[in-house]
Amino acid sequence: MKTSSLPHADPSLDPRRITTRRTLMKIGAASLPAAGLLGVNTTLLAKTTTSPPTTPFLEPLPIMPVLPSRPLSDVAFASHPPTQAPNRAIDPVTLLPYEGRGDSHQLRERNPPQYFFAQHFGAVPPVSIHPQLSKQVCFWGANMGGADLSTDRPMTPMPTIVSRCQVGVNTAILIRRFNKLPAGTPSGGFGKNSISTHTHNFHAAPDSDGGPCDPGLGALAEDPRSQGRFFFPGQYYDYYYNMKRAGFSNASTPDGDVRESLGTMWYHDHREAHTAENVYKGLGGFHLVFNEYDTGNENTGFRLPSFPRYDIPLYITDLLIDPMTGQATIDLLDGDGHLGDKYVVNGKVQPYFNVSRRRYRIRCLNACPSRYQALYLVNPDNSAQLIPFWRISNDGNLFEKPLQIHQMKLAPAERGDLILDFAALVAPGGPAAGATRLWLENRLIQTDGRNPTALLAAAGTVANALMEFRLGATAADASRDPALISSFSPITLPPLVKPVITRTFKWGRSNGIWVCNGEALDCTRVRFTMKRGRMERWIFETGDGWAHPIHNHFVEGRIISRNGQAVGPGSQEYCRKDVVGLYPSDKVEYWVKALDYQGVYPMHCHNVVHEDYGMMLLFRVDDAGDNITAP
Amino acid sequence: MTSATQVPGDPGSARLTRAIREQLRRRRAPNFSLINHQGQPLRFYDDILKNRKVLLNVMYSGCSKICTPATRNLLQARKLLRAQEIDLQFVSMTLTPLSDSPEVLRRYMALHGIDPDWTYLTGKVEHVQGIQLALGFISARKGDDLLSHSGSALYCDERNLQWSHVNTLLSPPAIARMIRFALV
Repeated sequence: MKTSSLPHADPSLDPRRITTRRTLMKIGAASLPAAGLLGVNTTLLAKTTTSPPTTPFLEPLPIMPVLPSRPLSDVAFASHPPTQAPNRAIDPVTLLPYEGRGDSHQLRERNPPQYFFAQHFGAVPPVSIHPQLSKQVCFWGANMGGADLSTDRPMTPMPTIVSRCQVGVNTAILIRRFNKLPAGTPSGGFGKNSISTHTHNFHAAPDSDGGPCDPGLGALAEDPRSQGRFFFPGQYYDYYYNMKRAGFSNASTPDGDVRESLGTMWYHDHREAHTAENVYKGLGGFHLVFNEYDTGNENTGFRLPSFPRYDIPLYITDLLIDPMTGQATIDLLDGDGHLGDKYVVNGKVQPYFNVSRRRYRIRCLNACPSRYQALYLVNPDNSAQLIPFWRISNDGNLFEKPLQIHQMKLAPAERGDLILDFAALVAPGGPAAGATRLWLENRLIQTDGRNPTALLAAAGTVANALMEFRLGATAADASRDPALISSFSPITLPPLVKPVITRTFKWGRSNGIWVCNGEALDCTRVRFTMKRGRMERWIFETGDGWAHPIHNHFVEGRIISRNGQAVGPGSQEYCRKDVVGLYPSDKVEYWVKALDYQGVYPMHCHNVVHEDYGMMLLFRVDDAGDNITAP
Repeated sequence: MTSATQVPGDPGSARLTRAIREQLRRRRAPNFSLINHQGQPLRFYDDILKNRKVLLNVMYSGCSKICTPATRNLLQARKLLRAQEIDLQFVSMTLTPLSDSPEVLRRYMALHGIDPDWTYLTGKVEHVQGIQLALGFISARKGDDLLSHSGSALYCDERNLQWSHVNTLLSPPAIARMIRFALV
């Protein structure tokens, strides 16, 4: 395949853009006297920490186990059966309510929970992430739901939750999460042991969304011990997910709109002002949803590679290991962002993965706090090969049909499902002909927690390899060739009805912290209200010198245009999205519509360090709405 | 609150905590000499941070933008916290030590009705700036909003390695709330 015939890489990664897009727009920069007089010593805080060297690809890729469901007779539920209203009775041991939740599960009566899960959050016993590094003693995670943490140990990434969504069938789930995190000084000097678990991308009511704070809970929300959204050591929290598609509250579609199907979601901590350190500490995992079409079985439906053998979630993060202590470290006083220099996939530094010569579904999640990625498939033994591969979804939402690409950009929190056909890629005449191993490589250069550069590193740079696929024998493959999938109908794009309001959000910096429209998060204030069922046009803008992946809870949207250019078929963003990657000086038009639930949700930058430093606001969904154009 | 499961079999964790505390002290809390609003000399780490729970912010008496509202907000938030019997040492450090002498700081405190157990700090320019830079109150970045000092206060529980940001430009109840939520 000739390079020149290939579609161009994303224009925002064109090095020329660096010189042509300097607009120097600074949002909210106030002028003040002091600094010019300061003669500040700029070398004082040079970021000099470098992790100890490690040999790549020494250990196999771990796969997170699937969280098992439990009967209601299980000890997790027996003494306090799950109820729609929260269990606010006082536990004599903690003197706190048994349950952290502050409000009743909305609309639970329509689809009472059928499958019950438990998770105990606790300290992960000392764990190896690489044979040449010290065992890590600072991680927190969750276990498989057993009550005895000495035998059922907390792990990170946390177990994969697998759910189903099916018309005419109630597949609702309830997850009881117990907080058994250590009290006192957190290991390694980071981590807040009061937690709130957000299921990123699920269409949940505020009671189970796992947000950071909710003034809608009134006086309750004022006291940290009763605020109703996070839960302390000794408490539990029942999260209810009906597993229906958005639109289920419409009488004619009690199962929701098939075009709102969800797929690759993740769950992670969302503690107010401490999300970055808690996620970095390990509180993250996958939540996958299968349905009538995306079945998890390559013999049925869309015939995508079967879960779990050939459908592999990759939890990608970057850690910085302090050579003095040998432990993962994050600087809580650096508000620019956190960059690690070790890629960790499913809990191991640069693992290898033995694959058969057949198709795999590889679900990539960028769980890094601040690092952006431009992922390539590289043959390290012939890095001149430009290797195409198939991408089928963005943020877990299927495209109209598979896209053949050479590069996948992932901002923090974005997901991308790939189909890698290891048989076809390395076959004689194939794009990676003769390869015996392939790297998943992030070639995007980033040296600043605030934003990536627009430059790409040379292909085949081992430090940039996330992991190595090692090609084994041919294996049977009943999955469909993505080239032959002409449509993922009936999961098509929901119609774009005309928006009735335009709101503008300027994501920037003011008075040393990160803000939206000049203001940082105020947990006592709801900044705007969406009316249920009404399409809204949101304009996201940012300045030069920083990038912000903007995530709104609850509502998915469509990116209509990026810097004046329409996003249309063939774009990797032509689908429903829950994260909008804003790169320096970007202006993006995004349309959203809220359905079903009412209440208060956050939207925020998913560079979680920026989020903790104020870049978040709260919005409400109700049946009135408002017309605030600059929330 | 009862203590939950500790890391089993990890004798190194107390040692690790000590190492990290020492690292933070060296990187973030230089033990420079300063002068308080009463003209008394003190050291930043030994006398302000060490083993204490404090709320730190920056200001200067000639400030015409965010300092005055920030001071007013913090003062009100402090009253709310005291009513809830939450005790926290408030410490404000000037950005312009050359003009903010202890006497000027005392006048500033009197003007705003601030009682003397709120500590105001000044000192040598290089000491004051060194601390403010180390704690991120001012930025060393070229082309950043360098002229805009932080409107964020820092809550610090030095012994337990707890650090949180508190936005001083929110309403006093919202500030008091952020502090309460940082303390748990």
